[in-house]
Amino acid sequence: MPTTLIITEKPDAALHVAEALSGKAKPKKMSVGDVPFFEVRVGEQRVLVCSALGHLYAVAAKGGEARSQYPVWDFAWKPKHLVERGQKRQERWIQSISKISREADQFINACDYDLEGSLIGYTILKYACEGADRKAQRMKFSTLTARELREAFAKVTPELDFALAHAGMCRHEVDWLYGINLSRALTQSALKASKRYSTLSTGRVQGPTLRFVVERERKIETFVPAPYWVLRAIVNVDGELIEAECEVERFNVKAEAEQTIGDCAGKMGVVEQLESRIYPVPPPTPFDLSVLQAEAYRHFGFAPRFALSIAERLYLDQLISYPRTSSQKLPPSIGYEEVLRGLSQTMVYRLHVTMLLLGTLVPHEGKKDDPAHPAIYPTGNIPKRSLDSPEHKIFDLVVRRFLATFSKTATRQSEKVTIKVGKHSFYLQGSRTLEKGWISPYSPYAKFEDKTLPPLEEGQQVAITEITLEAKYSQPPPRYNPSSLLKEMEEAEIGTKATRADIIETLYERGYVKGQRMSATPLAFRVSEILANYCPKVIDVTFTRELETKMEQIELGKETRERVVLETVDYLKPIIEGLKLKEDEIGTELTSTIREMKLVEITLSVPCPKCGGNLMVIRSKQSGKRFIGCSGKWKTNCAFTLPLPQFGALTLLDKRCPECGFQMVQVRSKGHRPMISCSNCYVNKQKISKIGEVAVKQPISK
Amino acid sequence: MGDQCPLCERHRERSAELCEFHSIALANFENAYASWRNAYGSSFTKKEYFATLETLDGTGQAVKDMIQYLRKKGVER
Repeated sequence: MPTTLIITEKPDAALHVAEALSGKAKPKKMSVGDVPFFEVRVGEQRVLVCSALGHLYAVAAKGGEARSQYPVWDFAWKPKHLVERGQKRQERWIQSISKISREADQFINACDYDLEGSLIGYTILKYACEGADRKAQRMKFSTLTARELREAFAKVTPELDFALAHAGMCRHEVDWLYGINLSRALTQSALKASKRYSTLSTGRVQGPTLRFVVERERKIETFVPAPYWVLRAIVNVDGELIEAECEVERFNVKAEAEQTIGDCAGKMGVVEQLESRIYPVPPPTPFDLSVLQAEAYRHFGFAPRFALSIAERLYLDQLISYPRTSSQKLPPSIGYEEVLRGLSQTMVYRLHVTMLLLGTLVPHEGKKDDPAHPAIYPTGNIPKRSLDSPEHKIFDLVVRRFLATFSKTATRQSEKVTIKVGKHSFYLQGSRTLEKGWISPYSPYAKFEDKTLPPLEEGQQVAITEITLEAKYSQPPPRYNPSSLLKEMEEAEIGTKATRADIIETLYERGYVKGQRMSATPLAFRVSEILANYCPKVIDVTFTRELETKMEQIELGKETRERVVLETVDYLKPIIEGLKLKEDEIGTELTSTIREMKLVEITLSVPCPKCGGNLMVIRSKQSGKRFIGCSGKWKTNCAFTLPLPQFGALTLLDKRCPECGFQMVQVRSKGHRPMISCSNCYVNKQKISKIGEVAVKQPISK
Repeated sequence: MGDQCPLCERHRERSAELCEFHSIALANFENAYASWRNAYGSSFTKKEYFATLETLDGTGQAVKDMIQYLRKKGVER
């Protein structure tokens, strides 16, 4: 009996594929070791469905060079467990897939249909299934619903999407060449000068992205505000006091503002003109990934990577379509009506669906398109399990956005009343929604301010009760947040929809940025300055963008992976060799900043309650245990100490304890949720349990 | 070859008083004084300029450092 092996990207997807193909019968769950796979019958065919665990292969140096050695130009694709630490599970997975593949004579890559999915399937088929890539086929789908999976299986393409897989390989190889050589150059320079190891990194996209943050920080740090004044008149209309704006939005000279107040003093206002405008507000376009991430940040404060991870979970639960898409289009083939009828099973969406089904279904599409996937849309399935809060929020956002895109245009009215006071004009502004249209289903996320003006007539006299003068100062540009930085990267055309969010997280992990309002740390300044001084081409957005274009050309079959990689090596070689020659200089520049950063990392922002000295995280040389101690120990013999958790990576948080005001700490350890605690409260609670009476909490200065 | 900026540890050219970063802060600070005098009138003193900028949230930290530095040098008067 012919046997087909289908490889999916994640275990959940394997189950859905097996269930879809087995029809009403239940797929037979089997395993090789602890690696599960499914067996189903499709006509006369035996189909085995197993999954990857994301990437099982990665780029690595060809030889067995030391991890510190650079430059490195020779590379190969190797099993991930041989390249990265903590990948034991991946090793078992490769062995099991190899074993299962020996039973198959036909192969299908059913990983997510994009660059990464095509590459994951390709490398597994090529390396774990002994060259099965040459005879393998490709399943393409945008949702994991049974209907679409069955259709994708029936319409399987005769061969793999090699162009996409090669473009993916090229991207990994080029990024590896950049990352490994530049990061090692920085790390080794710092190590050589300071004799202490610190992980420093940069990369093809990371370097220019860091540059955005540093340049913004530089503008903020060197900003000098300029003064200006704003005038407002308080108008009395039949006893109602309304604020009117002056025709001059901002006065740059104080004397001119004061002159205007003098001109208006004691005068009545006269309604000179009434203007009204009715205008349409078209529905929003369907979600592509970056707009979904921006909305998730705006409404829920979710970082882009977190929003993507939630969306991927919903996709694996068959609730929404594939989220890594650039498309803002919804083709009729997704089955608008079927999706809407599915959504109507949920009470909160039912009324909106009923209204939509009364009319013609035409989505208000955006300009962006993606050949691989439509925009993100709900499948119409209702959750089979209870969604947690973030999942529910993203699901509701996607559903309401979908409903909004099919809804009618909203209509709003704006009103403007010009009031003449002497020779000066003041404006009353009002606005309101006339027809809600799409605002109705999208109401939790579409906020429009309604401000109705009282009825007025031209020529009517109104009393001016007060004219206020407010001094203001111009503000520096805002710091980036993860969402606005992602947008900047997208506009600069660097990175991909799949990688941008990860790059932003790396900036945090490396200590280059801090806070939701991303401020660049001294280390970020130093690394960015070093790159700008010693290898400016590396942080040049133009070159990075050109490389992106070439990689897109590979996807279209107009460029080859080999040529792009060779060009990259030719480009990088002189840069890296130049850095190697200046290791000492670079190391010296980095060392002092790293030392300062380390000191900041271990110094608490609250002072010692006993002597006012600096509190620091100290590790005992005798016991190896860490604790909070006072720097005054060496000057004033202050013996103040507090205990700390002994396991996991410790971070001092900006957050203060709500009970005692002491600085809180966070501990992260693998496989556990981050634990936030207050050492001061911990000690007090210990005292309470020991003494057996209510102790007064020791307050700490805030 | 150069030396260290007196306000930070950044490199400065020997011919320059400050590093590039603080030179930008100084240039912004000096250029903006004219617009402040225009805004408040010619009686607006440098001392008031220093004191006001120091208290504003929007003033960059490098500019605030610069104010301290200039004050020590007696430029405020």
